[in-house]
Amino acid sequence: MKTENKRTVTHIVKQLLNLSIKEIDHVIGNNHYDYLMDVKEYVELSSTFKSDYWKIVNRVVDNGYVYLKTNEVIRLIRDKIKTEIYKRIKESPVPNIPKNLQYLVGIVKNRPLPRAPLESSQLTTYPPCAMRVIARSEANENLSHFERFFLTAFLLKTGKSVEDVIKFFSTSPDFNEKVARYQVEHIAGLKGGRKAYNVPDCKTLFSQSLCYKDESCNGISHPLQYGKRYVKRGEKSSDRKGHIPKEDF
Amino acid sequence: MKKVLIEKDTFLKKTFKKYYYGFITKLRVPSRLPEREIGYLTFSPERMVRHLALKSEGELRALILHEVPKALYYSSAYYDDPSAPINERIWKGADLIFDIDLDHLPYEENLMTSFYICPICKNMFDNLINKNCPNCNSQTIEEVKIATKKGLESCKKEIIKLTEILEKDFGLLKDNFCIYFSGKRGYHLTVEGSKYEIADQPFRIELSDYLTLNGFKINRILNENISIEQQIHQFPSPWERGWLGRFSREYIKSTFSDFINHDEDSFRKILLSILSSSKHENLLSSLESIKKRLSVKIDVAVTTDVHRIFRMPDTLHGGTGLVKKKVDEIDKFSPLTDAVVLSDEPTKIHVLYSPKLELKDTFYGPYKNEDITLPEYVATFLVAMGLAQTIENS
Ligand code: SF4
Ligand SMILES: [Zn+2]
Repeated sequence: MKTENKRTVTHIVKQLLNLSIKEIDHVIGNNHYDYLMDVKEYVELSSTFKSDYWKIVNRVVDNGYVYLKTNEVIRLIRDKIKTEIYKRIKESPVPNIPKNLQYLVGIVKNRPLPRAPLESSQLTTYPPCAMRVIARSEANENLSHFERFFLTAFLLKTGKSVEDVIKFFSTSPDFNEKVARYQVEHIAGLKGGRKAYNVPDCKTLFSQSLCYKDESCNGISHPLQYGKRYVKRGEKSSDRKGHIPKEDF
Repeated sequence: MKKVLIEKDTFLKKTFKKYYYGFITKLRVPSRLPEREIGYLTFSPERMVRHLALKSEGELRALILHEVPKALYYSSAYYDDPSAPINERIWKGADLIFDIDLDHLPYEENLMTSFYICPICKNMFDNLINKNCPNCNSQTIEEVKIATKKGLESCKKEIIKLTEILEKDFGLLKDNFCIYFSGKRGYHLTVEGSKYEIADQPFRIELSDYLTLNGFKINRILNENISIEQQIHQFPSPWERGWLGRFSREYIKSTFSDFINHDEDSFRKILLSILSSSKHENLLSSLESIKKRLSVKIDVAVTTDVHRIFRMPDTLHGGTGLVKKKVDEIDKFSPLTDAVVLSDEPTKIHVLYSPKLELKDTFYGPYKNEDITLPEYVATFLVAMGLAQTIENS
């Protein structure tokens, strides 16, 4: 049973997640190790874990590989499997809708869409892309590096403080205050005398599959322009460009 | 004849210029130069110029001869367009870089000679009570730290520890290591073309913590909450990999008087006698001091910065007149000789104060408030340190 488990885990890690891993049988003191994992891949997988237990300084590292037990490998790949499955569902083709149900499609398609807000209020000034990431974060899902970066830069640029942003992330399951603070301050430009990073534009978000465009986006090209169109109706496109400051240090 | 004291930067720039003109064809240009950001510091008025992109070796040599920089830097990172504003550049990766500086070593006697010198009243003090000059009360008083041979030897030991771990634990090849004497108070190690080149900052933080043993749990070696039998069993074997093996070997070295040609079984037996007869606190404190000895004293801020610019090899250090020198064989390298590249042309200087120092296997000083003629490289060292000025007769 045990070896069968091990074989399944190996299969999943190698075939589904495309990570390099080697089976071993090695005893150190009271510990029996089953796997070697590439140290870079290990650090990526464990980066969201809070406890010092997962730091590489507390692992056996040799020749670029980390020694692991089967249950540790399972813990490491859990979140990754979740995202992988989600990705595959998203990418899979939409099945053909049976003829007798197609009239429903017509109804849904022609239903009037909810009205886009005309004035900016607390809740509606966030574009769909940002709302989506916030929702994912609030549902305790693990955000990718890029999602975290986008959300941090976005919240900072729309007036949230570094403390607010860190607090916002503090509810996530593997929150590590030190790392989070470092990253948020880095993006805010507080580290190393740098200027803040810019919020990625719609094109970039789209290419990262994070754009959830709807009517309310109304032809904008940058999430920070969201909502502003309604207020400053007469602005020229060159002014809009000014929302994205070009910075340097 | 009237004695005229020459301004520090005027003299240094002249000396640096002479050196670069003679040496420029031999300067080793960093690999992948067009992908790196270049920066430099000018002589007075001191100005930092950054975000340069150089297309060729020729452009680099021209820049050096034209500007005669006080310091020249290159990024460890590779970019698509190094001269673009920082947030529009595409970061393609970065060498692993490590900085061992005397300032980061735990205190020991005679690693550095340090004292204070007041640029206003030109007095020297061994210690300060507050931050003002005890003589003229000036607040601009400066601390001078001169690395000793012993201090630089200690840095070398850290470099040796570092290379051993990078090779064994991280599978890096010695052929990819470049070790340099920084030109002042320490050593640099860079690793080019490794599988960690594209590693991001979180990885570099983890790597730094690994090397400095930051967050290391001693209870992986000795755990009070389990039985003696389990403790003996848990204690890592000296033949173990990674940190556990290093702790075990160091523990043997400091505790067992003669552990040669021993095997695993006799090791466990000796361990049993030690563990059952020692107090847990004493065992713990000896493991804590082993941890201090084993950790590699790198400057973590350097290793974890993926946009840092770093002194370029073969260029002069504005604080000493020594060169950032590639080390071929660390055991045979002698920084205070091998990094001396300036001439020995007799140079007349007025020395405010200098402790006894050794350059190129010769001792100089101590000097106090005197005019003396010394080889150019010694004179430059003292001027660059702010301890002397050159004299011209007019
Ligand atoms: S286009 Fe821009 S603003 Fe509109 S949803 Fe996508 S990312 Fe958000
Ligand atoms: Zn004074």
